[in-house]
Amino acid sequence: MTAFLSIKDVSKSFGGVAALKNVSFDLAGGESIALMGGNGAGKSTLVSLLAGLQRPDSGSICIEGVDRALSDPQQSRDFGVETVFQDLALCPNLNAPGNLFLGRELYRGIWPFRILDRKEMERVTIATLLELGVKVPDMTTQTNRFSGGQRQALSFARAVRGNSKLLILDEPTAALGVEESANVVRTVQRLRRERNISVLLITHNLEEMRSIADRAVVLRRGENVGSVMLSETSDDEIVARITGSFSARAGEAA
Amino acid sequence: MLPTPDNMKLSGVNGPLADIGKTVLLNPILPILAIALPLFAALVPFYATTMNLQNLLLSSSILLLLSYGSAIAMITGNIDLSVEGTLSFSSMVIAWLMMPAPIGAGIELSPLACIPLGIALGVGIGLTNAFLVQGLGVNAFIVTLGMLLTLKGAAAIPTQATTVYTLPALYSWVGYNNVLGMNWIVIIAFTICLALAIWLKSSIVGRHIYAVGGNVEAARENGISPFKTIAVAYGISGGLAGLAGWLNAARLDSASVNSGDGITFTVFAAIIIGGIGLGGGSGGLWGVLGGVILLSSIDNVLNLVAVNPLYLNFVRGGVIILAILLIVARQRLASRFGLQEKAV
Repeated sequence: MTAFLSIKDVSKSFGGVAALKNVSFDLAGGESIALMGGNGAGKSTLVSLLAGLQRPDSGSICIEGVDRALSDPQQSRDFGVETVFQDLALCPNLNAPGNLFLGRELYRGIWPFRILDRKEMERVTIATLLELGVKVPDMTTQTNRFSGGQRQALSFARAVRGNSKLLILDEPTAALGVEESANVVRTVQRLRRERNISVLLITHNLEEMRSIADRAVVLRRGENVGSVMLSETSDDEIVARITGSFSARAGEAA
Repeated sequence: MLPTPDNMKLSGVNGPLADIGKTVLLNPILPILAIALPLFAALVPFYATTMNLQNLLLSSSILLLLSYGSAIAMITGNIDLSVEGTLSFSSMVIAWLMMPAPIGAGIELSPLACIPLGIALGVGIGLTNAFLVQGLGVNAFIVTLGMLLTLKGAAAIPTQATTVYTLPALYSWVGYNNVLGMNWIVIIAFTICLALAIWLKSSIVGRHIYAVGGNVEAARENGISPFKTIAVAYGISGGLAGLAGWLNAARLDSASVNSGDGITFTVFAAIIIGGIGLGGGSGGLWGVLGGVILLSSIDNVLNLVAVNPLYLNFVRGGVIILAILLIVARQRLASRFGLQEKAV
């Protein structure tokens, strides 16, 4: 399998703080990787680089073998990289279709007389949500009236609509209840099965990691301290790598 | 259950009466206008005459342009306090460029060049605001308040604070000519503003203006540039204020440093009464139109019943506070009935 995503020697600093130090790893097409690490390990920074919100100071991000200098979220999306942000990136004052098409609104007519195609956006939204098995109360309601699970589902629907190839999930179940979390896991499993979608999962939850990911990449203080197959790795080892006690105990170079 | 549009519920109450209740509660300005305007027409002599309505529209034109601009800036979650300064500064600079020496610059620039120049000056001021606010990250309130003061001061510089009378005929033409009994100023101001109201609700950029006002981080994460969007909003606001500078000077056939003095307060009263949320992302320009009509009517009525000018501001302020109280009462009622504000 050729790598869908290839991160090479990526570094990023904020002021004097190095958030990422020469991080490298590959993600094959259809593969699912859990990005693990404690607070301040650099997970969110990596997400923002992949989503096109920020550019790395050095290193390269290759998508399907081509170095893409991602500088705009629109670019990332054009290459099939979709992100479900931890904050869900929803506008509370817009309705479900408004959020599903945020930044890529459908329109009718030609410039400068383009007008929003509300009907088509609503139709696609209903279809997408139904496909994901989500019930949304009302297409005219502002999303600030949605429950946490509905908001999550909407953000999720936005990311998997169209032909997304890599789904980045930044702590997707952090704000959800038990049942809603299980739903998210089931949906991701189904998307992987049916659409062979790649997943980069950021999580603190080991159970979730195992049910979604094949492999774990552990970041610690901005460095990649281990890329391991989950089938060959115990939870204890993952935790040890996250906390930094692993290399000392096993005498193995990280 | 499949999601269907318009299945909003008023605590289980339904039927035509409930529908009227819903409409009234969800549209802040409507009930006030529905009560106030017939009341004015019935109680105030001359209010409902054609001539007075023409006057009313003419005097609301300037307020409408300024309120629409400030409203669009406010929908992005910012504020534009500088429109009054832009109006007065652009009209003074343009008058100075058009007039012969000694009062003018002596270059006697053609009005045909000066009118677009005045609007461009306004757009430039708006873009400067946007750069300071979003580019440098300075608080919008401070930036535009400073800009207001700066421009009000700068307006006095070109003519050394002298009021310029009898502007070139071509420049003031719109103030002296009518179409179908409507002054050109009214036609220009209302056409542009109605087009803007439609544009804001149905264009992609308009949608982005609401998105940035609703959640600027979410907008950014979805590839919408907050800077560009806010620049468009402030640019429109400045451009409309520049346009208002022209129309105001054309109406009075003079340009004065004091033109527009104190209109800032009325502009913001119209915006708030019109239902634009202070936090950004909510409200619409149709409501602002209602707010402008209401406030212009109040001024008009106070003139018609010949209120002692000494009490004018006192009465005006009191009425505005009353209107805002009604708006707040409406919001409370709407949320008590579990009514959902319609999404943008």
